[in-house]
Amino acid sequence: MRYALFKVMLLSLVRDRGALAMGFILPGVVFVIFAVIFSGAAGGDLTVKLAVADERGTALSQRFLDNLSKEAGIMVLQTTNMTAAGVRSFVKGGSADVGLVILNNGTAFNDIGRTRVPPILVVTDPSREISVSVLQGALQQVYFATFPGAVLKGTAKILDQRFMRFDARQVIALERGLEAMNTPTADSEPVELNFDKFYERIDLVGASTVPTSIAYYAGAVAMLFLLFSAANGAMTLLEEKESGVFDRLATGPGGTGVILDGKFAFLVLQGFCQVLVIYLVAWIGFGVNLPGHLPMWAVTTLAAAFAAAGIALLFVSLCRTKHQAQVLGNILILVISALGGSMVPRFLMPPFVQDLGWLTPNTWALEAYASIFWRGEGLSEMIVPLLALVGTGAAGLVLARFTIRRFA
Amino acid sequence: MSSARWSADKLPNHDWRDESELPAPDVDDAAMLRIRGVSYSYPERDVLHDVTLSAHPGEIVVLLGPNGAGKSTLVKTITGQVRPSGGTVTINGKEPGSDVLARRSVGFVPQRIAIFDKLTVRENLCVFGEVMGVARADTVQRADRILRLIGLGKRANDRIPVLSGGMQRLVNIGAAMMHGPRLLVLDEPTVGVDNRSRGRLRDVMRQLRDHGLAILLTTHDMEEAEALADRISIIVRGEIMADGAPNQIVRAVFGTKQEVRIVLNVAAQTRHEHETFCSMLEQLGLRPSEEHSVWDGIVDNQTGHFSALAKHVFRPNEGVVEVRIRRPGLRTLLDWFTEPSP
Repeated sequence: MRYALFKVMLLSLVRDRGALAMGFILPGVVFVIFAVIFSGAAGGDLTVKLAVADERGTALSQRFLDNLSKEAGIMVLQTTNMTAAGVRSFVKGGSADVGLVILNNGTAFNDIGRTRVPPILVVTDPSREISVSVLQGALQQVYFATFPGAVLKGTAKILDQRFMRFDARQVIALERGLEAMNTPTADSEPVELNFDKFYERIDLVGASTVPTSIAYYAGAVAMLFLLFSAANGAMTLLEEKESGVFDRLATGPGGTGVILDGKFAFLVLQGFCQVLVIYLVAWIGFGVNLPGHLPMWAVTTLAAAFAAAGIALLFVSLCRTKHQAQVLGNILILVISALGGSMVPRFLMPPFVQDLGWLTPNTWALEAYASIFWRGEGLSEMIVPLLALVGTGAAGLVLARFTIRRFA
Repeated sequence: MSSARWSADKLPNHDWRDESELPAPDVDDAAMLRIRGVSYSYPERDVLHDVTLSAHPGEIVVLLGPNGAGKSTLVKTITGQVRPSGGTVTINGKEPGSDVLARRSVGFVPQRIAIFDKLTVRENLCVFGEVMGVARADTVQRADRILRLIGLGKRANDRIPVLSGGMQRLVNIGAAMMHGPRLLVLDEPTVGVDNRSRGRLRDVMRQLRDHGLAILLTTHDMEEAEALADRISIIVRGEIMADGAPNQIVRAVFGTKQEVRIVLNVAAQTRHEHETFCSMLEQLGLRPSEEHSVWDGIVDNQTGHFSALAKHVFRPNEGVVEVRIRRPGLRTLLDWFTEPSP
């Protein structure tokens, strides 16, 4: 019986060119567009979540971090005894957008021109390049605010050596002034105001060498179209209600439950194939390592399709007409997708919007895909997102079984 | 026959009704479909009230009623989609609301053409067969047999949109036959079908009846009811008003009375002629339209009024456009049950 309904859905899809184009060609095209647009950094105001480890632990380094935490656009994650390894873990796990380690390597912290070894290590996720730029600007500002004497001293030395000679009285006055600014003294070597030497940057490498933004948008676009195609498929319920087919099927021994089961199975398979097409494009065109992660990808995609099918059937069973379902469905899907990170990377969103994202299947699916393609994690680390997706789908199907009864 | 069932409060207040002659529903143990005292209510109104009805193998029962009479709700209680709030519905002794086998005994043909238009004729039949529990391996063979029966054997591989409306209706019926039901329930099966296709559909229904199926047909098409019904049940405002062979009910309700309709050309009559004529028609018991140009009603032939009428209408008279006298049919019967009393 379920197979019969499944077959109807399959034949209906195969014979509907519009649905085929919408389901299997458009997603790939849109993915390519998104990938090209967003693989570079995006601009705008945002709050960067910063994981910090202070290996030095001096009053000076603490003052620097205090000033950094006061910077607009920087949110220092409050953790105790964070280590460099912890910072890397936070960045790789997505809990922090970027990491900063104040190294205990003997380098003068307040004299960027004096040594070739930077006192600070910046840990980055290449897919969040924009957060590095934000941090870079904040570091300059905080450095100059924290160590104003260091800059002034360097400037004075350049003036003394290249443009004019200070006399003894002027040198003494300058040194007294610098001491008064409570800045540490430096030796007489000339300084360079090249801020690049203040920190070293290290890019974390994911499970794939492909830019993580590409893998991210493959998942993001996949979820968007999963929801759209599942909603379109589920709307056949309303078409069948209007044509009388639903009443007829409902008189069968299996009742309305069989109708939903058949459609659910089809929507899951259709969704799986649709996401497969997107990832094949991502693999062939952009080098996303799909073959290397095929089993985990398949499990995640099935779970994501499961969630989309359940949500779509529940939503449609709550609608009265196809027109209503189309209009409300488009709005709902766009909102869910925007909140869930299918349109804009979640790290660019304000924290409360990021929290709202956990209510959407998009966020859970993106989390699961990130586990696979960025962090290279196994099934045990993906249990939570997978359970969230499967649970959403199952809950949707069960609730739809109740709400569909009002169709009779 | 239970004359108590036909109490006066159920019927319009026509003074010439002979309610003791009305046949009562026959619900015996041999009936395939047995509906006893079924009631159903929506929060705001009663839809069915104490409905009793039956259908036997090899019989076409027509459920006749105006729109909103409760026909569709009654059908839903038969197909198990709605559970009655009172009374019982059984099909071959089992309740369709709770028994899968009972639901499998019913073939339901909805009013609309409820088939998948992207599938072929054969694929449609196979799908509905499977949904009703037919083994997948048997569906094609069954479908081809049914397609031959309904005369669509050569159109098995055609998609639905290329078929005529009448053929689509036949597929609609064929889809309900796939699982070998013992009771076929058809909800307005010939709506929007041309006369030729209508004839073909009726032939198919008679064939199915002759194969031993019990058939329950809902309609408000009197011609169809008269052409097909072995028995009719008239349902009005959720109550069965009459049940029996069409002639039997008509005879019980109208006796020897005749249905008379006279159309006048008022402009061709003098005022005096018109008033005299209208006075006579009033005495005959006919009721006028608003313009007093059309008069109709049920007239007792035994009163001698007809001969008086004949004197006026059968002489050269440009004031009379049409005279129709006939035995009341199902339309008159239904109007009698549904229209307000004079």
